[in-house]
Amino acid sequence: MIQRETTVGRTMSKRGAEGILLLGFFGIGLTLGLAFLKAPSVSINAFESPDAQRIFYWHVPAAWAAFIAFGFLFVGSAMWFFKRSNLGWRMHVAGAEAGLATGLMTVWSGMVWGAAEWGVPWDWTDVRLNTFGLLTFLALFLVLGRQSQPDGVETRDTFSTFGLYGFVLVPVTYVATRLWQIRHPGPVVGGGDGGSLAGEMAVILLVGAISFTIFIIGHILMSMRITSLEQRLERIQKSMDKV
Amino acid sequence: MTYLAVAYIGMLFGIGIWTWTVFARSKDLEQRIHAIEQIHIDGEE
Amino acid sequence: MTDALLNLNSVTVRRGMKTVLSQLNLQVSSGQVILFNGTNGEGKSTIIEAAAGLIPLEAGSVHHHGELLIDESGKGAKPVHPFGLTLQADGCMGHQRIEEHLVNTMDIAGSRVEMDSILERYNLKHRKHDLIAQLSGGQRRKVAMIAGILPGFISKEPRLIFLDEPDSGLDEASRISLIEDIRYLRQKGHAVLIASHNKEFEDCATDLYNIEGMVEINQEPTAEIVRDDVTNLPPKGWIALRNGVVSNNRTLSTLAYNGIAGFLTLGILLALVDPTKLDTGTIQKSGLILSSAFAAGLVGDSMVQMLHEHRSLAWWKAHKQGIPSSYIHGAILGFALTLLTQLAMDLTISWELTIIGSLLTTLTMFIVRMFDLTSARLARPRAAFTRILTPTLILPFALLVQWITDSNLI
Repeated sequence: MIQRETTVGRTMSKRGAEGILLLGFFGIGLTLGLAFLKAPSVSINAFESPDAQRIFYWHVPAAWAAFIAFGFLFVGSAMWFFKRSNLGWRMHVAGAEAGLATGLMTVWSGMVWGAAEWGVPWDWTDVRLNTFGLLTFLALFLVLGRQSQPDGVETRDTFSTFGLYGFVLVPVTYVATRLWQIRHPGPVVGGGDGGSLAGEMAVILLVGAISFTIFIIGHILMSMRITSLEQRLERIQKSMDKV
Repeated sequence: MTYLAVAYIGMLFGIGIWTWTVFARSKDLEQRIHAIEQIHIDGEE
Repeated sequence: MTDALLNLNSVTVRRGMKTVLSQLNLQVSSGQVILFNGTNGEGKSTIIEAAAGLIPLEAGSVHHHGELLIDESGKGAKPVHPFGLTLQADGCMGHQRIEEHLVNTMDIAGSRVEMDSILERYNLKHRKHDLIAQLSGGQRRKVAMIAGILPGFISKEPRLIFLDEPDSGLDEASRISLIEDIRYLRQKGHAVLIASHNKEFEDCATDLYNIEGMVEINQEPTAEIVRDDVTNLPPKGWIALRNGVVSNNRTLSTLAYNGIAGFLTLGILLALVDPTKLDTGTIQKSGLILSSAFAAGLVGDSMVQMLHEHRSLAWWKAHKQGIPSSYIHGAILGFALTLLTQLAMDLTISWELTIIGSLLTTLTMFIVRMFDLTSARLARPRAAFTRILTPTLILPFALLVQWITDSNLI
């Protein structure tokens, strides 16, 4: 009886995670559609390539979502590394996977914008571009690396060390690029001249931010679920080995 | 504009595939666990 | 506490998903020979490796001669009294000569002795100058085993000797010699820890240890074993550095591994870019000059690959005397590549820049090596692609190039 109840609970959480991820995905689709078809064009003088600014509607929310995912990655890494927390390891894995997805989106969209606006897709002098680029590479390493190893303390210790290395990387990259010059536009919302965004634009951006947040939460939940399923499978197989 | 449209569609397509793989992995694992539990139970009987 | 040579205090060790040792306490004193004869998977090797400070502890601490070796926070010190270690996987690199591996052991142990008599006892004297790669598995095992017991022959003070499956693949004559040698080490007051299923070791062991605990074995007093008195000569230092240089000279690995990347980069750049068309004092120009040195460094340290052979890395790590590297050859390569680039581009040679190129290769090699060493504990270190992390280095490289351009070095 107890067995059944936990199964029901599991199904609920599974449906929940799947629903949230799907909702986030459709929200992203909606944001992209709105940004492409509905968002107003901005004054021509401000940008080299006025239409390219439409990319902000997914670039900015994707960066926000990646920020959440990397936060999970770092907190999870630290929780495993210092406290040996299983939850921490699941957070590490989920953060790396979700961070890779949204990090790639951020970098890709940034490159599309850069190519249109600056004429070059990548700028090594830019703080946020580089930080995100490097963190995305780190997430790629963590995701590929973990898949190549059997689960165990050695694997978890090593990859959480690299996770923490990424955490150190952020301020270092920041300082390094500050020494150079900055080409990336400042924060869009809450920048110097308040209310620089037209109402309609703000709404689309808000839709984007909400969708991406839902997407990332769904993704993290799904990834954590997948990790626990993997561990369950491993446990069952281990117990069958003994027979 | 064409350039942008391609970028948009590429992006949407990319996230679509990614999301699908997340679902597929979860489903695949569930099926494997289910199958293996079946063997386990059959073995015990 | 102080008169025990080895102290394991509530040591807990996890390996993979399992807790292999749980709250293990063990004290070993001078003259004790403990035989770990448990079944497979009971953690014999784990105890040996934990006692040698090779495995991170989940809890507890390991003390050698009363001094902390390692504790649960990973904190620890270089062993004050070097120990002897034979790993289950031999721990020696194929391109080393037998004598070199043994000389390393002796230098770590604190003095050099004439090794011929020992080699003769194990029928290896005629192989002394051979590369370890040329030996059979059993012969290599003998070398690894001799490296483990040698410190006991050298030191007049009691020492710890760790032998993990020292008898596997050994012929009968060698096994008999080994048991005799262990008796001799016991008489000299050393403490020996042996992991093995072989019952023959019960002839020389003072205690048996398995999952049920420790049982003392009453050994009949044996006649004193006499071995040729060894003449101790002073050891030579810089062990890791020396080995790195010798390895590189012999295998030319840095040239083959890093050099090829550097030369290829240089070739491609010269084929695509006309250097005379680039203005002096531009980022492009200084970047171009340093690219091949940078590319050479990005490949990493070839030594790490060699150290993965027979778990040599673990052997070096355990002795905490540094780990062989290719830094010196990397520095020479970086120097040569930067110089060559300037010559090929028909520039006035800037020695500052050439030295920067040399440092660049070394430093890049160092960082990539750190990534590799950090992932060395993984079950499959080569399957984790640490090279994905190398883009981290592009930004510092770009900053360096910018700085060179601003400071008018070319």
